[in-house]
Amino acid sequence: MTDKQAVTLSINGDPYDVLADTRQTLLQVLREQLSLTGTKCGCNNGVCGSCTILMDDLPVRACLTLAVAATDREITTIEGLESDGELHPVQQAIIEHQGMQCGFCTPGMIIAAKALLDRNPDPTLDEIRDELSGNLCRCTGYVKIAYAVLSLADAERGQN
Amino acid sequence: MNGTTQAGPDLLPVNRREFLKQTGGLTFCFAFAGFFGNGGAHATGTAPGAKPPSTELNAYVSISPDGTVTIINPAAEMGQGVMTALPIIVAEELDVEWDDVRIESSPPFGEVYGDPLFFNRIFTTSSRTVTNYYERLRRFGREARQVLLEHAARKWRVPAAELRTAPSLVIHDKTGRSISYGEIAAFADTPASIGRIEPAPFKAAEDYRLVGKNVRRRDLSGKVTGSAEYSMDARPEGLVYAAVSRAPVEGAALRTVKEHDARSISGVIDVIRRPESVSVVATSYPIALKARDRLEITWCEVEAMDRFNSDDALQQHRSAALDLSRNGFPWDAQGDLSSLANDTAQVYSAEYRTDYVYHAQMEPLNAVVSVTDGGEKAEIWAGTQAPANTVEAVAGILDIPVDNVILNRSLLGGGFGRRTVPSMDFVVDAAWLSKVMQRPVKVVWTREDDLRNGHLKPMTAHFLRAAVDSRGHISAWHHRVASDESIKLLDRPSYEAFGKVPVTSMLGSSHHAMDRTIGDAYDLPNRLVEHISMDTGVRLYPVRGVGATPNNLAIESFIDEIAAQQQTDPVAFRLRLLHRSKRGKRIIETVAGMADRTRERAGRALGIAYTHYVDTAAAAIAEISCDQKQEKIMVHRVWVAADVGLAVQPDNVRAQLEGGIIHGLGYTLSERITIKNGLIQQRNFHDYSVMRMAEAPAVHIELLHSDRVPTGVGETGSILAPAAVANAFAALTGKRLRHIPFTPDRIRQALLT
Repeated sequence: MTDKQAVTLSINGDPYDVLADTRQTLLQVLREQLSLTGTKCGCNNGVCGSCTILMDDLPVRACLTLAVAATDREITTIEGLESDGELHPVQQAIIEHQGMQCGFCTPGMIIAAKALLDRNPDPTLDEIRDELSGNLCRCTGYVKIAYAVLSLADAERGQN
Repeated sequence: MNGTTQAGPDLLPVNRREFLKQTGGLTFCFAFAGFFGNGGAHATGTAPGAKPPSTELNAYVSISPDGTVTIINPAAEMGQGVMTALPIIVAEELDVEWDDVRIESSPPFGEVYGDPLFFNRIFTTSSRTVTNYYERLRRFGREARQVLLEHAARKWRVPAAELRTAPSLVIHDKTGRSISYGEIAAFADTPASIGRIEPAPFKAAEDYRLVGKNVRRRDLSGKVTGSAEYSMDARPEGLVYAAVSRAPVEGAALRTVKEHDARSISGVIDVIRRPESVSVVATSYPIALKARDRLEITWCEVEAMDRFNSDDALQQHRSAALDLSRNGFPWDAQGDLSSLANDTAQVYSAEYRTDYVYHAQMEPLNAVVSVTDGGEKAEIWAGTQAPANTVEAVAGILDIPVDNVILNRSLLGGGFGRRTVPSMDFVVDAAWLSKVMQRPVKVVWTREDDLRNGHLKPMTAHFLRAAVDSRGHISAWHHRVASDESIKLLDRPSYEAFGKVPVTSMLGSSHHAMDRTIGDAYDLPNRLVEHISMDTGVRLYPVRGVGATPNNLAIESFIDEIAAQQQTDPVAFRLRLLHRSKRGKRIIETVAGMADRTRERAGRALGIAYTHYVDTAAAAIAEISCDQKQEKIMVHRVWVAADVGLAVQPDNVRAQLEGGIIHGLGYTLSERITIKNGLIQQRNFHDYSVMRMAEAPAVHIELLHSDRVPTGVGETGSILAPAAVANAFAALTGKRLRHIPFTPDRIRQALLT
């Protein structure tokens, strides 16, 4: 008896066939089997946010998600945010505002910020602070990250 | 070449002895085309990649004919921006176009790359990197530029004095000729013919194009796309994974292991024991973890540690601090304390305490090592703050020469001091296992491992006494600090090299500058600052802020308490204590102005703290409120004024202060390790809480510019935060919090007094 299962995952628009243990997390499959190492593992317990990815546009913790439960879902990781060689606006804003230091939390933070802006294109600073509170950063002090995301809000871009 | 080189001894600079004197034994090294690459055996592992043959102008600069200028960064990049800030200093004096610059990590050894403070070893800690490398890097940049000028002069047969540089170009105005640095590199092959060069003056500050101008950090783009590589991401061919259980307390040895259940799991390759660890090696990391869970391990008891409880230890620290019959190590002593016994003086005393703290870098510690050639050679991928320690630890465990070890200096997912520990506990297991397995091994600690193997910031207890004379001046100051010295047990070489004194415990406690001049210190003419050594046996190591965090909590809280007793405004009181320091007074006045102190704030209050740690004068004011039902402090805003001398990367200085304040607010409000029966009780971020975004205040920063040598800023924020909050709490409630972190039970107790 093997408890491995063949699954097809749709990641950043591409299909990936993998043989996953039924108890294997999506984070393990991304990092170890598919070499998509941009998604980080900080706690493996769902409390730090470093492994945040999108599943059908909703932010989830890849460390708490079973790989076999991710079939038929559209998965987006940090590697999938660029399009046509252009950085995603959140990536660009994080650079412009220097919203990172060691960078280890950055992929998860960017994904969480993208999910927030997709759902609410015009967040206030307090909404940003609340929504991104599931993502720990030990270096920056958060201020620059929050302002980077705020710079993309409709109100800031004069698009109200 | 590794730093102590031979080639062209007369070449540069003329006054070599003077140069050596000024740079603390630094030798200048030279090699030209034909000697390219980094030379010596220690240079391995810097991943030179494919580049055209370069002309190596000196240990820090080489230029290839295509115009690419490679500048060496000796320090560890852990997010603090040094891989940009240090090369900028070289590039400014070299007068190179920044876009032409490529940055490469230095070899792990070589005194030319080491920090003089740390005995010419690379040791990226203690807020000192920019300060300690600044003068050296300017010189290397300047000398490399002079070599280029001399080569152009020789080619054109004109005096070098008639030449000038524009970014990446040498120009002869008289004849209208110019030549690029790359073109010079293509023919720069006869160093001896250049002859002697007089050192030119440094560039004038008003001509700076890079220093002080917020050049974009080089490490950013890879970090937003996920392509930046940490050691956790390294995957050499044939890699296997290990989960390691290490001795739970220092000195414990393995007693028994039942491994049958672990070995029965498909994918487990081996279970390997050492006296201090048991490792499961498997084809994947999840399998290794699952199998490790099935091991039944017992460890030999370590008598002193197995009944160790942090609550009891804190009481022992307090008793030691309070016991005036127990003399401490006199760290900073001047004048006498006789006025403490003077009937006419008002005498005050107070106690403060701090708990154990954990580094909590976001990347759990990990490393990859590949041992080859029958155990004779090793290649390491690791994020380390002390690369020589890392190479030596691996060479030691494998019993091979350091020259046989290659280190890939990975980006660090945070450091805060943890990655300097000389045992390199997170690296050596991978080395040993790779030797046994004869293939590359990746060891990744879980967050639980990272906490369990934590090397903590020591707990401290402080007892302070002061006498105030009839004019309101502090006529005696007595500060007793009881703590472990954090490097005494686990960094014996450094402890001994620093003279076996409590060097990390007492940082931030002296009332003079680093060179023992007055500097920006308070005027406390009669003082005794002493350390009472506790030797608990707990695994400890410096953590950001070192002893300066607890010392500043004690000093700045006590100053506020004395000011309140004297019915003096805390800002005015500090200005008087700083009457000898224009700079210190300016800092206090600036931060007071920024916070608009006199404005009424309903339900909120302000508290101030000042420090001159590593000769950076800085002050912070925190605005807080307190939810008395929830027994919780909210920090709404923090203002910081700092004079860091020349700010090489001003935005980066602000980023360090900002991040430091939030880190320090973690120490202030929530971060706490407790130990029961020798074991760390906290498991993960759910019970070791660092500050989250919703709780983080806005931080407003003002840098006061000066042309002094850059001073350190990496720890300043983390040092200022606790006392600023404690003083704000006292202003808000009239009650004094004395023990960080200010947990709900401690807030409740304070409110009940």
